[in-house]
Amino acid sequence: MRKNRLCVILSALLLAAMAVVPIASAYRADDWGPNYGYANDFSNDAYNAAVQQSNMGYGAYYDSNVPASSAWSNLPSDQVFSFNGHGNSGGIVFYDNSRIYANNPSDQKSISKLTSGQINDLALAVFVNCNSGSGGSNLLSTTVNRGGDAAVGFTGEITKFQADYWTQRFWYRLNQYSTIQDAAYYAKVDTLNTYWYLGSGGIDTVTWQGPGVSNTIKPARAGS
Amino acid sequence: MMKQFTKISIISVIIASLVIASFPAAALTKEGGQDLSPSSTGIGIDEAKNRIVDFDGNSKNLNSLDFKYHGSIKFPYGEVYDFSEGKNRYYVNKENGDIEFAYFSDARSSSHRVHIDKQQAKNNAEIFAKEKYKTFITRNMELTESTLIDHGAGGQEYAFVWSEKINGVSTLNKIYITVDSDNGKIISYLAKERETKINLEPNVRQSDAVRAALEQFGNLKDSRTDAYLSLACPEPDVQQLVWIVKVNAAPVDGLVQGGQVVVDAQNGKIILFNPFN
Repeated sequence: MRKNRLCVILSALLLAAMAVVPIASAYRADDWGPNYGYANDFSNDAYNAAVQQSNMGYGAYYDSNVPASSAWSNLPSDQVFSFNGHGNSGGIVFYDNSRIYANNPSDQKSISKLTSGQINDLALAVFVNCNSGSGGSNLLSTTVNRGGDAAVGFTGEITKFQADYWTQRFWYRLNQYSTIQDAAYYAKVDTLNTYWYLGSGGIDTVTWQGPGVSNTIKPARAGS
Repeated sequence: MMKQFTKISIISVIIASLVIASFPAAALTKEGGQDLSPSSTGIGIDEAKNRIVDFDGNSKNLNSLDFKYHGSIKFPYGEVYDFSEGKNRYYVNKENGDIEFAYFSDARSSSHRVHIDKQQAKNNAEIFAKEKYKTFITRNMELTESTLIDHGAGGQEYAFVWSEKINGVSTLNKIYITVDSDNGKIISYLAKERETKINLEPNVRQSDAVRAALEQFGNLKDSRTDAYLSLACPEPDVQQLVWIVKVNAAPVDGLVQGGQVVVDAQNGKIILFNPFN
């Protein structure tokens, strides 16, 4: 009887896992949400993004404690790339303090060093960190310049609770067939409505770039 | 018999899980669904459309407008009906029929340039606020934010926030308006009117709230703080007086330091520690 119950529970767990990470999809989504410790755990953001992407038909993978080198090596295979955590306009920071840069001549993990065509299949990159879209050669502009169809980020400093909620609503709306720019905009509206007394926490500085911002990413697809 | 039951259970779990996994998330929630029933105590769908027509001052016949109902959305400050009309979008409060969000798609210029200055944009926003937010004149509304925001491919817009202040406390009565930086038209309007139901006298001093907030961050260098009293609404029908403390400090390894801390203004407890990403 106990074995039978165990069997049922394991079957349910297996299927729940399948809902997040389909066994096979031609399209890959990677979601990184480092856990830096006290009040700075972004792993739920990555998980929530992966759940929605899975519903859209992507093979969605999420992780919190991987170094930048792992995310970097996967990037050319990604159709969707998302990051929630610490960073600035010039780079994103992983749990062990390693970084992927927008444009750092002395580091190989620099988006500007990607050769033409390496991320042509990237339909969307999302950088939910402070100032990811501010200044000239930032994470968004570099990603689009190297072949990404669309990139979304923020020109200001953003606070965690509002950013977490925006992330949840952004992926939810993409799963409802919103275009990338509409999902980014209306997720901002949802965040303002939810954190009305606290203010936008910088979320209203959401910005988007690239020729693909008026596209939907459902059903799952590659960049063009 | 038991084996057969187990097999049936397993098959049922598999089928149920596959069905759940194959549906979009919204199908599992009320949010985004097509709940057409009018609110039990508030207004119905048709009345909500009338409110939008009134808000826009639209002289067209209601039936000639291209309304689409997208379901209702629950926020901590109440539930709204979500409509589009053409390319515009509206949230209508289900209880009182107020327009709490309006987005005017055609107002967004494609030029992305900054053609009008902040003062002009503010004037346009204030005229709109006075017209649409019926108690703007009678309440003590203070301009608390005015910024130019660059949305990249989405163009640039000015954002203005007016908050009601009672004895120095920001209440829930606020208006957030954005104005196109090229043509000066109103792009979006967010507003709420909520009755203030609690005593606005704090027991905790500002200096104590700031001290408690800074303790959350550990070692910050060159920290600057800004603290103000606000009414918070952590869940529907619950109001709370809080200190909102904003903290900015010197960057470390190129990363900004600080964030927001919400402190209970009656007992000094930390309600929310909200660092920068």
